[in-house]
Amino acid sequence: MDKVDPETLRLLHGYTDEEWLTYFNALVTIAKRECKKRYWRTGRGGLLPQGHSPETIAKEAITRLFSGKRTWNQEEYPGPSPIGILRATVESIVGDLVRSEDHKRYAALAGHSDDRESSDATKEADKLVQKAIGKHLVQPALLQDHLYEIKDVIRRIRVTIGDRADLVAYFDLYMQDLKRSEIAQRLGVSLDRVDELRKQFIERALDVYREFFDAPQPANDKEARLARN
Amino acid sequence: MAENNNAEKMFDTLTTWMDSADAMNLTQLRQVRRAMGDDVEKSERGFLADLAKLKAENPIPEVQRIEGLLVIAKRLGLDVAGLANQTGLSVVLITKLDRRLIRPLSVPQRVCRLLAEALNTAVELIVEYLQQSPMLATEASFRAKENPRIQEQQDFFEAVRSDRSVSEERRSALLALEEQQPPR
Repeated sequence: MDKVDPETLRLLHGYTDEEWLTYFNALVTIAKRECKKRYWRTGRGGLLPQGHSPETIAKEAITRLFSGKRTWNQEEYPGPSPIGILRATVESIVGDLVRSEDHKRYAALAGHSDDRESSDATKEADKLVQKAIGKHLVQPALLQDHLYEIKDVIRRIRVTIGDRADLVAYFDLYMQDLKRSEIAQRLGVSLDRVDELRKQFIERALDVYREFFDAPQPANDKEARLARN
Repeated sequence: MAENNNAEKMFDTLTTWMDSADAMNLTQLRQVRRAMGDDVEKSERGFLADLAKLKAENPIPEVQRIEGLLVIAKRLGLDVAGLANQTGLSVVLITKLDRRLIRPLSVPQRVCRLLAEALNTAVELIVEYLQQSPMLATEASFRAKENPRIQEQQDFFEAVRSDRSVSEERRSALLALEEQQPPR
């Protein structure tokens, strides 16, 4: 049994239900992205192992903080809000899941033990995938599929917001990875207006994102690829 | 490889707004989750039920307090002199510590540990006890005509130096702890 810092427990008991629901929904959204990102890259079926979903991952992160399995280091995550430590925990859990799956999948690359610190999980998974790509365990054609898929998402978003020149302009700058202030400067509008455009863009594009997130992963086996071609 | 990096980079940028979900309010988050196909009401109900369970399983620890150094000592069959001997202190120092007339931050960790061992309790509880407000002398409270005044807290090592009842051997041992004290 891990020892929970009494101050952490006092804080965790002090949040209102509304605050907890805000944290929870934010974590589910972040977990959804993390899962898609990592599994999408490896071309896996999209199903998480061990019956996990973005929702169970968010709950697991909160449970770990309550139970003391994850310690809230106030120097690293200062302030009264737990969202920083919780999102780091979500990332760590997803990293661990991916890592365990990658170990199974790329057994040919043996020599990696499972007892590493979870903070190494992402790097470890990255290394495994890169090695797998190097050994052609992930087919190069899959990478091409990723690019096509993401370009198709961008094209569909442009179509969806096409009737609004201001949203298209915002989206083009957003896709250049510009900061909020840079977008404001380039568009010649206030920061509040950028926030408004961002909100409207998200609302309009959500359907495309849902389709992208629900879509089956590009297949990573020769038979499926041949069947498709 | 460049294509893979390119696709990943585009994925990251395309979904950056999801990564900033912690900056959204509850209404926005619910809207996003609904639009992404989640049954938000069911999900939130399940979460709140799990949260209630977590809170019940991990309650806020009650602040434990000890009633007094001499109260515990008495329960263990020790008088003030016995406790002084067991801890290498003096009757005067024990009495001052019991009444919290010593500045808590000046009390060496070793002294807290010795007291905890002698009183069969946790060091944290000794520290917590010493950090409470100074206690009135019970006698002074009814003898004086004026309202009883709380004595000012004294530095532990000052108390050791001014204590005429402590043996030279114990005094030296206690003062040696001063060098190990962190700067105050």
